[in-house]
Amino acid sequence: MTLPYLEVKNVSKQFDKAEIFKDLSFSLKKGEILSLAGPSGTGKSTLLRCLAGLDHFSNGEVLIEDTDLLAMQVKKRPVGMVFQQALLFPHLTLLENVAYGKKITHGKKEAYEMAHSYLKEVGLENHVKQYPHELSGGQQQRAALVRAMLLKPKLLLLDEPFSSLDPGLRKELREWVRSFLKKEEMTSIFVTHDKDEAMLLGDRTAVMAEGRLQQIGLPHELYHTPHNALVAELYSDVIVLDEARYCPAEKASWRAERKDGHEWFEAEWVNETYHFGRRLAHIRLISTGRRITIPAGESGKEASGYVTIPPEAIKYFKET
Amino acid sequence: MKWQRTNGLFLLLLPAYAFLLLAGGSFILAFIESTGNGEGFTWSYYLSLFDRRELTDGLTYSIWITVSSTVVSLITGWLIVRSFYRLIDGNAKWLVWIPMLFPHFVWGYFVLLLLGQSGLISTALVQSGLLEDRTLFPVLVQDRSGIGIFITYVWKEIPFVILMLLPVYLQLPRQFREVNTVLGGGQRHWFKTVEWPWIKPVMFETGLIITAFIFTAYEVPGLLGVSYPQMTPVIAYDWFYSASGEERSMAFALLMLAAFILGACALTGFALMNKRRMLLSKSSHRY
Repeated sequence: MTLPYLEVKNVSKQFDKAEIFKDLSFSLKKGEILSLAGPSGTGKSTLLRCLAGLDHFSNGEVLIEDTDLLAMQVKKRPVGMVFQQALLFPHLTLLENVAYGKKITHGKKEAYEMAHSYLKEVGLENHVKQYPHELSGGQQQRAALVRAMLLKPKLLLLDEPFSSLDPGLRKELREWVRSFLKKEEMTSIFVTHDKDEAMLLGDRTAVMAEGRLQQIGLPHELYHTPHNALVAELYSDVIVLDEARYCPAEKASWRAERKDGHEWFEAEWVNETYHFGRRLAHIRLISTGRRITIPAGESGKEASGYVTIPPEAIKYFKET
Repeated sequence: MKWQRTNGLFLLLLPAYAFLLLAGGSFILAFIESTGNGEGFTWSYYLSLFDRRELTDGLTYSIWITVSSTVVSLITGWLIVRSFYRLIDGNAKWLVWIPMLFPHFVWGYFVLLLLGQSGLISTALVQSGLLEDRTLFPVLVQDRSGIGIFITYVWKEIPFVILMLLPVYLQLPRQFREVNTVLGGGQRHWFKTVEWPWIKPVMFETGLIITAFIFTAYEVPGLLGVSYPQMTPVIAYDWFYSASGEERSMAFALLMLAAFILGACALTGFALMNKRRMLLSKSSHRY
């Protein structure tokens, strides 16, 4: 059995007395991309900042190639980071920006040569003399990624790097980023709160909520067999029936009347949308006020009705 | 409607036009005075300026006081802001305004009362027995080397430097500090890449304002200077009010020359820094 490339052991973070996360543990293989998904404010970015050395863990240990990462001086850590904004220095040209870190460690000549070759590889060779504001958002974010990659870090942290981009550019860029990271065999942690993005970019996905890693696994595992209600609600298209049971949303249906033998919820029709030719009903459950989306089928748009679930579609969370 | 829009804009800009007319008009009139001898155009007042020993001595004296006061004020003010800006929150900024409320003349008078041979400090030292006689107290004001003028200016301009630099430091893009750190940069790189480019234009402007003011203001050297050497504004003032019409024209020539040199410095500086300033304004940082 090979040793993990990155091993995060029981790390915790507290701000004053408030606990941000507690006892997080996971490991990554060389070249593996982990998508870290979860709602805002759960400490995903804080986890990355602690790994990069911009903040400190309250407890825990992080090993990278069996070396204690946290004992290393921050600027010596083999960790690269890409932020939500590209954060290119506005008064430096693209080339100067990309070469910035490498120039510090290896001198101007080597840095500029390497920056040139990387910029060529990512299709930005014609923009080397341009300033960041002359580049598009996508080009800026690509440059920020190359700037981090130029230092050949052992671990690359991406903190929602596409959040400031428009949806079209986001789609285009995430595919490019994944292939680029794979080509470079870069071990990476990618933070996002977008389910699709997490699935597309990560080899594995971890869902972080309420201060702990709720589940970590292959994207389809998390999607089809969520371990608990939190993962189900955040990552899966299911209807959480209670703390122990759920039902895939595609199995539920909207009816004007209850159906014998089926589980039912009194609900209100809110709206309808179409996705890949399927009609979807947006429903509000009366008892909890929660909104869910289910296939609308051929049903009408009655203002009130029932969400019904056949008993054979009900599943149980693993943690229960 | 268009007429209203155009004229509305004109009316709004009227105070600015009036000011420009006043300043520009004065400038042109001063130039005419400095180049007219009653018979026609001449550069003779400019050429004869440097034949006057009192002026060449005064110029050296003025440049020395101006440069030393400006440099010391800038560096001290900068170091103070740099050391303490993290401790100053938005609510404490008004404290920096307090010294701004006192005119330079009042500040100069305060220095005279405090540091003069018969001032508060010498009196206190004599009364406490630490000094035998007031005449033994060093001559710090109305002295030939201009220490009193220097102290007044430094004391008065440091808060001004702080006032100018504090907002820049409070708005330094902290996100770039993190970028610098994760890219392996230290304090030196942060200073070179972020801090200095951000503060340089303001440092330059502040330095220019202080230089122009010290080099051309009359009241402090008038109050705390000696009869020889004198700073150029005092010389210009004396010439302006002298009985000789020629000296009045020379006073204009002297001030025109100062305005021209300082104006040229300002224009060159702005031209050199404008592109950088524009680039910095395009930064994508959020805090």
